[in-house]
Amino acid sequence: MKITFSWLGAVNTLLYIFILAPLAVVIIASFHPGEFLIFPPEGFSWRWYEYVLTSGRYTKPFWNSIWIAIATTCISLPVGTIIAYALSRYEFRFKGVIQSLFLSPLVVPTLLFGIGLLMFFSSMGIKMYFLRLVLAHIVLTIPYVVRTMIASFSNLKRSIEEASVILGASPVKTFWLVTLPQVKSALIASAFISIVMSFDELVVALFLTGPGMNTLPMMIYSDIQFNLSPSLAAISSLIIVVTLAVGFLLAVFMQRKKRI
Amino acid sequence: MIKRIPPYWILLAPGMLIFILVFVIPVGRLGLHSFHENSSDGEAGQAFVWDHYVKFFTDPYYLQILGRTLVIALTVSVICLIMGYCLAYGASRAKENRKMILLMLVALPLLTSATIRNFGWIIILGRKGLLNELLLGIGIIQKPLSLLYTPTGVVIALVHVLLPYMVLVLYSVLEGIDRNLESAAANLGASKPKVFVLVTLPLSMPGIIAGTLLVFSITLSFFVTPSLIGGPKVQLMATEIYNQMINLLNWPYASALSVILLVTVLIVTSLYNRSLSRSKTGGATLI
Repeated sequence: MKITFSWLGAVNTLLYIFILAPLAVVIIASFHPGEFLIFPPEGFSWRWYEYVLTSGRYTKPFWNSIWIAIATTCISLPVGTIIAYALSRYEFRFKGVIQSLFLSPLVVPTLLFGIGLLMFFSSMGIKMYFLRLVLAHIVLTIPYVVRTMIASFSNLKRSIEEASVILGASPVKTFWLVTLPQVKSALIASAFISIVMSFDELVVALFLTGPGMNTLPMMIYSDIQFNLSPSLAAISSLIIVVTLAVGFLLAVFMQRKKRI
Repeated sequence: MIKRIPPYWILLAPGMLIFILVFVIPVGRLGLHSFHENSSDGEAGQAFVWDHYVKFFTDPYYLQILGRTLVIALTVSVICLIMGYCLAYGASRAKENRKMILLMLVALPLLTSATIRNFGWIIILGRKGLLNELLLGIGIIQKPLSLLYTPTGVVIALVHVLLPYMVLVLYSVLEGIDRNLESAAANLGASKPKVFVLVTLPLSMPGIIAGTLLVFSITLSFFVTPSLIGGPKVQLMATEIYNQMINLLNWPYASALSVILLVTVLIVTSLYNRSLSRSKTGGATLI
């Protein structure tokens, strides 16, 4: 077998190492048996994984993040989908402006959005931290849902929907039974993006939560600053492995869909 | 007679309601707040003053923060461009079945939060971190380098966070280039480097501009990395805004800083959108 050396190949190998190194380092460090985070680890143990899963320290923040992500997605997915449907099926005045409005959270820095919301909520006296975060995350995730769904709706053939209406189905029934099943994979992708973004969101959470309401990213952020320990590496590794696995499965699923 | 409400308004209504209440009004108030006099309660009806903007543009300390932010964003963009071009070019010229894997290796880390990736960099860049141990071990350096809490460390970690964006933009442009043009140039006698410089590089220019502007605009307002890797020693716009807001409780000044940052970001973003709409590469505009 002939192996050809190429400069590009060599450089890119180094770049892939650069990309994967921080993730690999966190995972490797999580197996250190001692109390303090050191690299490379001196020995191998599952001790910190056991601690993360059984100590309860991370349990509450984890469930807070999960419930916030689920509540966010339950609203941003349907709302974003009907926005995308309206924008891709109807022509009307100010359509461009309205589309820009729904995509603008992509441009306004999250930090500024967080500050604006903190001022807003405190002047309104809204102290329910769960509600604050869900509302903020809905605004942050809708642009992604809208963008994904617009792309998917505009690929559909209108004739199938028209056939359904001609055969006597109401517009709502047509949307539910004919249009939505055709964009199923885009819906799954949007839901996935929305859950991951909300679960991982840190900046807005730093501004909007208060006593008794900690999310997992906030916990990790403050542990990095004040409490570097192998348990931090273990919880981070769990998050890395789970997100990458789900992302990988989704990519494979989408790729197969495309081929059919 | 009441006209029937068109169906699209009914469909858009829930989203509009959420966006006006939770997005437009809060961000608008941020702008208004930047003209208020100093006080932390933020009640309306206070005097309308320019003080905070005057303070920003006359105090070298704050101008220096803006300057440092711009310099770091530019450095990150250029490094991302060079690294991203190598990766995107490699992936776009790879065999069909390897393309997907190469792209996924770049894109999947995008899914894990910047916080966790920065944590990895802290382990690597620390005084007793992996990199220093490695370099000391080989004998390249005699004393450990200080990388954490320096602009260099911030740049390294930011490049890592933003590289996937650059690769994805450049890849879509490089995939769109008609390969026959390269073959034609080669057939006419151009050497490989010449084909690249005279054909491929100019044709990928829209992607280069778009990718650089995208990375530049995201870096300007990035908070997590300067806060974790830079610490108090490397103040950027985002960390200074957080500091004014949370530690000093100077909300009006934090608002003014935010408006200045927002305007800077919007200028870069509109350049980005214009560069994309001028090229027919089909890349996604931000708005």
